[in-house]
Amino acid sequence: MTGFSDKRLDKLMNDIQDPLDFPENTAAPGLRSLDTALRCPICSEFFEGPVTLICGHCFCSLCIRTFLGTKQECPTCRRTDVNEGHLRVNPVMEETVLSWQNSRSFILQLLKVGESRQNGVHGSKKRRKIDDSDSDLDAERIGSSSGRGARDDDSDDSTVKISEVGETELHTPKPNDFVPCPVCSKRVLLKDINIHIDNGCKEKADPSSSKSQWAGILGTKSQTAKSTKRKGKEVVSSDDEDLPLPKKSYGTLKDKAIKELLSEHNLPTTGDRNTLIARHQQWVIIYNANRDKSSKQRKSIEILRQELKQWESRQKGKSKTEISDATTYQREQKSEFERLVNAARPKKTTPSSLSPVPQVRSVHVSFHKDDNTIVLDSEEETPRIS
Amino acid sequence: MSSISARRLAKELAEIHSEGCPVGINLVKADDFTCWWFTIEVMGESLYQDEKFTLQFRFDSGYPISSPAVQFVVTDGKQAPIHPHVYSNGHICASILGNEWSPVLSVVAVCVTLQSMLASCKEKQRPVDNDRYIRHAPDNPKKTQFHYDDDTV
Repeated sequence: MTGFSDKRLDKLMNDIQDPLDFPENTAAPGLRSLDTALRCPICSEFFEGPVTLICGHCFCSLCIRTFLGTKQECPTCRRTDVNEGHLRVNPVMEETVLSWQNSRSFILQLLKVGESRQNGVHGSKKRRKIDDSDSDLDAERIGSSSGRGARDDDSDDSTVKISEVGETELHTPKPNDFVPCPVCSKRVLLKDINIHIDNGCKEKADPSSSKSQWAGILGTKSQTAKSTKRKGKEVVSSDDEDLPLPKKSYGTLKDKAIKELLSEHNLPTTGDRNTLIARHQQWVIIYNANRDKSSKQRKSIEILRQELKQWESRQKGKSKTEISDATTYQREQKSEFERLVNAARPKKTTPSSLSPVPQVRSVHVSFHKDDNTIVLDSEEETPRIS
Repeated sequence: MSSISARRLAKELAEIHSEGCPVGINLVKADDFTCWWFTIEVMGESLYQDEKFTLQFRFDSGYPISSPAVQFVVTDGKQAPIHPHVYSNGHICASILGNEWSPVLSVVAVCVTLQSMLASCKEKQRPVDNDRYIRHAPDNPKKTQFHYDDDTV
């Protein structure tokens, strides 16, 4: 019961958090359903990069993008006029999930304490919960130190912290105070806010920055520490403007063009055409799903490449087992083989090919008399109505 | 590394273990994340009174994006129910197992649907094309392309 069983299954089961960690509704009203509501109905994990379809249903970006690749339908309400273009990021849900994940183990701990106070029992599970909460608190600490400042540049990082600690609401900002931009919520000097917004929130347009921009264009190396800082900020802002990768119509592309698409992102260009296409399709899904996360939750491109590699090795394993299942394949294709054999020997089989027997064998079609159910086990669409 | 399918199935299994299955459905075995067995019986008045069937679920790594392969077990003296949508080899013609599968469905949800499919049956009979189908049926029912035109089930 300590969770150190060498069985893979047991390990996985202990590793998994789910709404059942919370007691029933009578003991802790709403907590279990809250934990359920913040999870993706496809993968049952907490929403990762939550996106919403036009019907309002929410999923992890990766989950729904993968599903829409197989079928254009909302998994929850079966609305069929949906596609990737309708996906909208849901940053509020993302924020909610992150906050809940931070508070979750703490709440579990509180519940446990309350419970053990009531009946004086210390379950073996308690140890695990406390461990969890420790690690989560660590994560929270890291999050609060690096998270908030991530969008701001170094120079006003300290200012942000001070203004957050102090009262931010009630005093009227003076021209040299930092105020949040109403568009991008980046903190900007009040006197610069109009220029900032006019520039499309790209850059605080104070003279020094435009100077360094010109310096960059003209190729003059600016030597001040200030200008390097500006450059760093420009990288961040251009990241924000990253566009999603468009879907390609691979049918119109030559192998070489597909390879170029892959090498643009430093992806392997090995394998046949179908492998290349599948790899690029999956890359578009992984890349765009990552883009749907808020900038501080995003993974690096390098990690995405690793994920693509893992995905590909899983796919390989899958197709191998399919092929190795030779008897099934043989049985499945038997009718097709027979049809081809018959077709290859037209003279000998002319009389019998006129009889219905080979036709029946070529495609297994049948009708339910009462409900018109047809059963095919071949891709061909030549149902023989009998 | 635990894949999405294994994690999702682990959660479903945890829920079954702690909450139990709906009435008439019982977990027989779930030793891994590739094959689970359930027993299913129809409660109350029905044509299948006192009959107990065994359902087999097979999962691939694409679950829950791809549907599980679900069929009745017909080995070791077990029988598939006699039903217009159930072939004697255990294969089931039900849209939610094929083109109407949705990843928000779960193993238990499929069991409940099949239970109600049996419960609403009015006449015990095999599909009309049963003999012809089972002669050539693939091992995996997912490889059969069923056509679903009967909305009453």
